[in-house]
Amino acid sequence: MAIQSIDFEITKDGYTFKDAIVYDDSIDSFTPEQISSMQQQRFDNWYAIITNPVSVVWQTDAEGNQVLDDNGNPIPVEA
Amino acid sequence: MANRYWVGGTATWDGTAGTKWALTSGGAGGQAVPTSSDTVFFDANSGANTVTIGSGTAVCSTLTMTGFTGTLAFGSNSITLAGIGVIYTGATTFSVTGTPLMLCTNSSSSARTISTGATTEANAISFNISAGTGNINPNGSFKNIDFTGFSGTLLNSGKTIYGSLTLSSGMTATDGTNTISFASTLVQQNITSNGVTFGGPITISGTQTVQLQDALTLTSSRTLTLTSGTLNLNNKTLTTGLFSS
Repeated sequence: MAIQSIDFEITKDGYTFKDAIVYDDSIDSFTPEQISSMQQQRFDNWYAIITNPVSVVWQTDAEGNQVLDDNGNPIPVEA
Repeated sequence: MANRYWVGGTATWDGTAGTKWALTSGGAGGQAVPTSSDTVFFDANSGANTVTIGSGTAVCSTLTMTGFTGTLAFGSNSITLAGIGVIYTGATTFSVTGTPLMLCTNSSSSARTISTGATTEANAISFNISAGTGNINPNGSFKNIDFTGFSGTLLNSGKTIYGSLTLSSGMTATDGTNTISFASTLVQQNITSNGVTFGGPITISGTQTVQLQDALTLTSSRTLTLTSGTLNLNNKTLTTGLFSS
């Protein structure tokens, strides 16, 4: 078993995405077209997330101050 | 399906029946070696003994370690958990040696739960979830978790990982508030997400390096917290709702 990693970088509209296709060559074998397709799919998924972020509402106390967790981070209001 | 309780003292879990297995806790030995449909127990009545895992012979449906005070000596071998439901119930009372590994091989769409308990880093066990299309809920403490071959859904639950985490491109992960903590004090920890968006917050709290093997994406309501150790992005993109250190 040998782990292969193909790093790639895609830029669109000023957003640069750096990722890698990591696979076990004893299980997976990919054509260049398949790898290219996977890279584009990864980028498209990421681009959709960062250009359409879900609006987050953070918990506040009765006085309107943010409630923080043990690490000092704000806590999202869960749907 | 039958129950099998270890009553074999210090011996090897292998293909020889002997007097190692009983139908009840502390009962008389002489039952057949567990098969992939049997429910296996190591408990207080198994004694503070060392059970050595033989090569390719340790197979069961589910495994429960509650109350066991001995040692599982894995060497370089593994235990196969072929069942569904709660396939592993760990305990903090027993020890492991070697490179402990559990192979979770059920390929159905049935749900599985792995509850290791809050084991120490020294006694953490690696799990390979190599098949299945249903929900899986690993909670507690782990060495490595490798989902290669799994195409179901990883439920959001709290867990501490002392080794590396590898997600599978065919799987999904539900979002939630429970935290995955990377906490090794001994080894570098690698995260390979294979394009899967993480469900839940991540905390890095060990003393070693956590290194990304590919891009890591958390949902916009989740936080990656670096409290100690080192986060090496490894020239990969980290996307998170908040970053805290």
